[in-house]
Amino acid sequence: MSDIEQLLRESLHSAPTPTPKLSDPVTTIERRTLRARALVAGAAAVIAIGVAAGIIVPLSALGHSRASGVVVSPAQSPTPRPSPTSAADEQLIWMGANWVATAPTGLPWMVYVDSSGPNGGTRLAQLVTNKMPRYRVRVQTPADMPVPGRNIVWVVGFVDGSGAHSRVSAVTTSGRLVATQAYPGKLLTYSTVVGDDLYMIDGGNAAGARIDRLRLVNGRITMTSVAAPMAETVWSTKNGEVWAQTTSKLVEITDSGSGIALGTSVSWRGDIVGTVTDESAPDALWAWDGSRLVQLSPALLTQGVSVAEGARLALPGRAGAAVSSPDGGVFVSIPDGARTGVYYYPRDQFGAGQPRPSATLDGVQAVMICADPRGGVDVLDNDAIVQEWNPRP
Amino acid sequence: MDARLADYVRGQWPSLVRYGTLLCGDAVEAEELVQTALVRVALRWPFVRDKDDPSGYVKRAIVHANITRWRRIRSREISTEQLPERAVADGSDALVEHDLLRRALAQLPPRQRAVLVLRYLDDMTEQETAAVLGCSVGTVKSQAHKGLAKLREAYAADGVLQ
Repeated sequence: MSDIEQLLRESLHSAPTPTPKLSDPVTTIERRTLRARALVAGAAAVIAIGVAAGIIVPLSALGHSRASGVVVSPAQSPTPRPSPTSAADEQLIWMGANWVATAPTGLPWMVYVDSSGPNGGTRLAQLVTNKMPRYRVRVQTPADMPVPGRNIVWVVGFVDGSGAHSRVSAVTTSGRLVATQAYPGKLLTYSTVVGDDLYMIDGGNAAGARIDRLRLVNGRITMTSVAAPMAETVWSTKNGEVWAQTTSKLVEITDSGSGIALGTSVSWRGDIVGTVTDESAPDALWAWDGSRLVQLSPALLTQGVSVAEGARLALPGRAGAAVSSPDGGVFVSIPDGARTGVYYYPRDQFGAGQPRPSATLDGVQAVMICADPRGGVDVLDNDAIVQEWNPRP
Repeated sequence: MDARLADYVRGQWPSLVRYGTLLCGDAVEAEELVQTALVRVALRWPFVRDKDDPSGYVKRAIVHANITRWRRIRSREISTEQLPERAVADGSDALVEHDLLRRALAQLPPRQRAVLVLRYLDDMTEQETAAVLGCSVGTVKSQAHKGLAKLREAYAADGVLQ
């Protein structure tokens, strides 16, 4: 070892420890993690009956070396613990899923790593009612997240760090791989789908974020984009409005005819935690205002918060994700704190002083929840286990 | 947050910030860098193999977060020929040498800095360093060579190494 190497080693090991300004890093990191999880969980806000339902996903939350998918019997279900007072029904449906999302027109899709021998790899599959996946389409990596549209299931993945790159694949809902495209240098992170158009945040630009819209045209993936330097996430409403979120604003992304453009900008500092898929509020998103879950219609924020906010629901903890129920209620995950769990609130509890959930999954730390066409939600927990939860009245 | 991760963060926070400071060259930015990395770790916690000692995983996350950060700000970051200020001898040659070297290190391009921190602080092999940084062993070798050469030049300029 040369002198300079030895000196460098000594210098690095003897570097003084700075005095951190943050006195309680755990609380700060928990808050930031919660916000990230809220975005993750928002991905689930696609309801089966939706026409233009949206999902949002933070791919940074995903690992690339998940366990291979293994089907196990419902009797082995380890985590959900319905409260004694609830009349809930939960079943384990998959272990080792990278990600799960419900399609607007059908059963949930998941991405998982199949490590069963030489024919293994990363696969996209649909979870059918007998708990066995079908199609099992092998997709090129990186591939983390299914983003189902009406006729196309997009699969998005990225690798960050040096040599960052992303890949997007398009698979028909009948399980046929149509196209795949690599994007060197792009960090395609949060995404939402309107119809079959995929909107994503590209965080890989030195000049700031861009919003990309991907569309499948004649079997090829085409892209248009617009600079949105402060955008952190992107959401869509049931009626197809697309909104990019910054730390203090929501900015509408519009179709300019030849591409996409920035539209109306409104102030909003709360978290967005899901898409409202209730027919009564097709222009709304589920939002957390700091103490309540609210149905927020972003376009109406120009007329004031009280106009933009519809149904309100006080919660026992910070909402991580919200999924509309076909019967007008809402599933909510509270991913951290003393009241961690997944809750179901019937519609008649909206606006109540102390709303009471009719069913709970106590203690389940949901990474995400997504609507299940069978009436409940699918819950992906911290152990990569997917469970169907369908509380019965 | 998982209790084990919370305990780890509470116990290791200052040393993680120190690690981040060596990587990015700024203590204030290091706190943000380490936060970003820990959020990522928290989100991926179910897949962290060694939950009782996640140091390796966390440090790799910090390295990656720093590279990502660098990619985003590289257009604004300028490496300079001259160090911004020179250490003043205070009677302890060793302290001055180490301080000079760390200042010189902070002036290196981020990837060179990362290679040197991984090689000489974490004692990683060239292969391990290449795996963490997602590059070839050849790149690690060339980056380390260039980085050490610049440190040697900086020291020679100060008359410490002749």
